[in-house]
Amino acid sequence: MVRDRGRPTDCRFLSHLQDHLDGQLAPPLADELLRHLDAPTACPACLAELEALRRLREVLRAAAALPPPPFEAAANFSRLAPRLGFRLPRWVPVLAAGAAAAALLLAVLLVPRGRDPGPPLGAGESFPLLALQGSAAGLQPGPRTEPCVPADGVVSLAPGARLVVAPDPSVALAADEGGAFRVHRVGAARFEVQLERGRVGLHLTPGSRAGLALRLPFGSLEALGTAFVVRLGPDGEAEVALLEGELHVSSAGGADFDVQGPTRLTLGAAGPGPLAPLTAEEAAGLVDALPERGRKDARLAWLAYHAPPRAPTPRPRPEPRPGLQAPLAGEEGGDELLARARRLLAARRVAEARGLLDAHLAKNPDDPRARMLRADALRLGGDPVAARDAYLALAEQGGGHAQQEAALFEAGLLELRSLGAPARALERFDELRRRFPRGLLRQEVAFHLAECYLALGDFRRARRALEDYLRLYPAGTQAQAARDWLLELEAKGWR
Amino acid sequence: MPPADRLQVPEDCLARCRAGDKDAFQEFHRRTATHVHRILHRLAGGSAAELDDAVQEAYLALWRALPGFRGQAALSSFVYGVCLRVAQHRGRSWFRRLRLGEAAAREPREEHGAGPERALERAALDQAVQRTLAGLSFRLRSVLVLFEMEELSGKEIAAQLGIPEKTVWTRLHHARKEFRRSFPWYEIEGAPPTAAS
Repeated sequence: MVRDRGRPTDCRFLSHLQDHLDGQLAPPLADELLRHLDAPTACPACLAELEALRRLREVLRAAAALPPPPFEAAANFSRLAPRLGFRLPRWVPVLAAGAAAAALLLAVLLVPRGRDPGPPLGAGESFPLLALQGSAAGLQPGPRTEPCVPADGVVSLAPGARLVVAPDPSVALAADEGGAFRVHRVGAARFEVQLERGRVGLHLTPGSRAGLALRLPFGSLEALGTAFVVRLGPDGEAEVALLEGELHVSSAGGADFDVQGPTRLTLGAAGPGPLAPLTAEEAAGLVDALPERGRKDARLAWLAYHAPPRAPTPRPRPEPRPGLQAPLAGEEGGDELLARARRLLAARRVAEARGLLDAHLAKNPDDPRARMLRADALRLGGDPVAARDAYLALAEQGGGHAQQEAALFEAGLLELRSLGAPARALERFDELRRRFPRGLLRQEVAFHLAECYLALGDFRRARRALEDYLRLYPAGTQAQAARDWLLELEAKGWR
Repeated sequence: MPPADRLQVPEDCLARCRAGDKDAFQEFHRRTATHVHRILHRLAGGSAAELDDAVQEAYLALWRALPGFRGQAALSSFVYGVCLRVAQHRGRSWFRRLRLGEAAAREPREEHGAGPERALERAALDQAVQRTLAGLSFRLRSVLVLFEMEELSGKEIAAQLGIPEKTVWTRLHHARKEFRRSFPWYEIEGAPPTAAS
């Protein structure tokens, strides 16, 4: 089966990619998959799927790193105590309220980035172990009975032993190959690991507020949202394999630079060695050296970033047939320019994207794809009115039907969700239904019509629209939401 | 070796909690409340007041259940179990209201060293993820949140939910698929990801 742009969608490895990233693929098939991705002719369907999986993971990870809403534990307990039958001294609720107000003020001024680190470690406490195979010297009893890695103490692993420790919810370290290391805590959430021998795999959740540095005989590595593995040789030279993210490298000789994964380098007495690529086999072996929580990120990042640079299969570009293809952007490299603008928008570098698009539109004022992206930029830049107008202009006299449909749809969504104008949104969605009865977005339109009626408080019509949606698309993307809304409406008496 | 624990509560504090010591339970609350709050925020959502209420409900359940906790599992597993039950019970109505647009949107907060634009972006991401999670059934949402956001392993999730590990992977597969399909990629990232399957 061949889809648009000649992309094969029946690649048998597609359904195995996620299993591989989760570490659930059996070795023979996993090896076959790696060979498939490593082939000189990279599979475009697998690359596209990997990119989609990477973006999904990034979104969930970024959301996980967001601080939860403000919460004041002491105030919560003062409200909880009466429900438990506890009687707190009278001053406790007052104190809790005062503490809550102070915390709120502090939260406004100094909301921490990333995950909350949990309760601080007290004096004499240690870093909890996640796993230990084999024996290790230097461990000590923790706050419960299990052994812990002592803060600042040296931990030495017996040959063949492996130990995983998590000094913070965002930081994890796995040591093996007879490793010896210490972990220092600096301030609230900064950790410095000193590697004395053996191998360590480290993972720092990107976007977390924790800091992680690895001290080595001939320099140091500062993790910037990273998964990396370091092996120390007998002469103190470190072999560094960066599987994901970025590292800041400082060598004893004074070199200071950032490197992006996936890559390899050495850090020895002569300074940092040149950057070298990671092969598939090396990367697969190194992923297992990481703590479990870093493995899926590393696998995904390595595959997603590693694969694209391979030489693409040369394909003859078809000659444009007049009248059958939309004209290209009107200048050499127009596609690349639009792709760049799209990437800038994805990275929320809205001003740069707008600059690029404005310059392009000055020369090609009718390029519908650039106009669409410019409208997106206006919306992302926080100007929903201008964005709506730009979408509407495109919907009236844009390129093809699909672009007009998409533009009108976006204008309707903006009116419904950002501009608080459900009546106008209803007009847009009605117009979409009339103009594009077989449009690509007809399913979404059917659902948003119901949303408009709900926002207008017209529950009878909302109910009918939801029933229509479910009749037409019983397994649609919004079917579950439509059923829930119907239940909600029933609960409110709108039968 | 006993199972590793993400929550650090001294053994004597736990023992006193089991014996019904109120001061010890207050200490237990102090050490674990931010963790419980975070899990409930992800699993059940809700406004600050609703979350505060959910946290109280979880601690009422923990107070009742702690005497039965003998340390055979990690404390964090025990706490996750309670949070899952509370979230399942409470989350449904809140998520429905979110979809009906009745729930108050969370105010974007400015962050230290970041401008209001950044805070707005983060708030937009948070709301988009919450809305998308709201569209998933609880059994899919719980697996996705525990695996991707709480970073529990498949085995840990299976133990929490009392299902075979294979079922965890199946649910995770469906949850990701649903999430990919419903997440407003265009709003957040500028373009949807290419769906190859």
